[in-house]
Amino acid sequence: MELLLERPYVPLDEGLWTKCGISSAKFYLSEWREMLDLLCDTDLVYSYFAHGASMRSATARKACLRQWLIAAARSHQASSDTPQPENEVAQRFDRYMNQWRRETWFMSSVKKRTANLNYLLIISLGKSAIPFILTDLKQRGDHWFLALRVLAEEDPSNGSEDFNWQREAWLTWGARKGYI
Amino acid sequence: MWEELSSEQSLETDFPGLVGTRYERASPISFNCNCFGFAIGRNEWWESGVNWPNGVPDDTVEGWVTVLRQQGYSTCDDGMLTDAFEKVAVYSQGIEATHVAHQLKTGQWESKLGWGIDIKHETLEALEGENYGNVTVFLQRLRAERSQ
Repeated sequence: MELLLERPYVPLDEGLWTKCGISSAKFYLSEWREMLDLLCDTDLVYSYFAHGASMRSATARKACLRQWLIAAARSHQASSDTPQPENEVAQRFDRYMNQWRRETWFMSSVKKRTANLNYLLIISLGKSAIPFILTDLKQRGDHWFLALRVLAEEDPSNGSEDFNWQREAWLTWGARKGYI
Repeated sequence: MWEELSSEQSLETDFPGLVGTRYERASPISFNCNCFGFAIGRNEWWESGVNWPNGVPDDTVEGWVTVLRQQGYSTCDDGMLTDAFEKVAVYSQGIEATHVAHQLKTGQWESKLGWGIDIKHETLEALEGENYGNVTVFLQRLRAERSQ
């Protein structure tokens, strides 16, 4: 079954659509039924379907999915920057983080791990997630650097790929900004 | 959380092939290294953008084999233990590479499980299944070429 969707608004430049040769959105519902069942955020689903699902190779689709999830999360983030009760953020953060780790701990690819829905849902919590991310980074460590770069819109590690270096840079940044 | 995820119960839940086989945790959790770096004896993360050659896919069997060849490996038929060569086994799901294990001199295999711990396991089948798929390629190189 093929569905046509309206292209949703997401804050990305127009060139991405052209680059992928997409003028209207097509996807096969059966192929993504499982994902539909998993996702409750309609905007997020539509953003991806509208962009990535019509790409030919699985690799390209995954790359698109990642890009779009991040874009959609950013979009969602804008509306999430309204202060939320801290305990509600904490609960959601813990739930998403635990589920993220359960689903991805054995993966050897940062790209795959950070394309996981739960990781993007953490980003969608907005800046209010930063203290929780930094606390976990300090106590246990994990690849929180993409989420931090998206939420903070800067990179105090200056593009370093060394885990310890990045961790120290972000913790220093967090302390300076008063997040931890 | 990490401790919970790397517990025996969790390992056997995510890798049911381990149940009833001999395996052991080899070293603590490390965030600086993934299975690829671990398997080739380099305690580093290997992925596109980090220690990975430009233009080579980092998520396909073909891409992994290309990089392993650059590290001195050549394809071989199986994972039989030999004195002269160390072997690695690439797991995949279709064309997508998911994991690589390397063989110890004892004949055991050693695997870094994502961000988690690394384990020694008697068989390659122990990690086959839903998460890593199956072993589809074996490669080998002279043991002396291992840098660590």
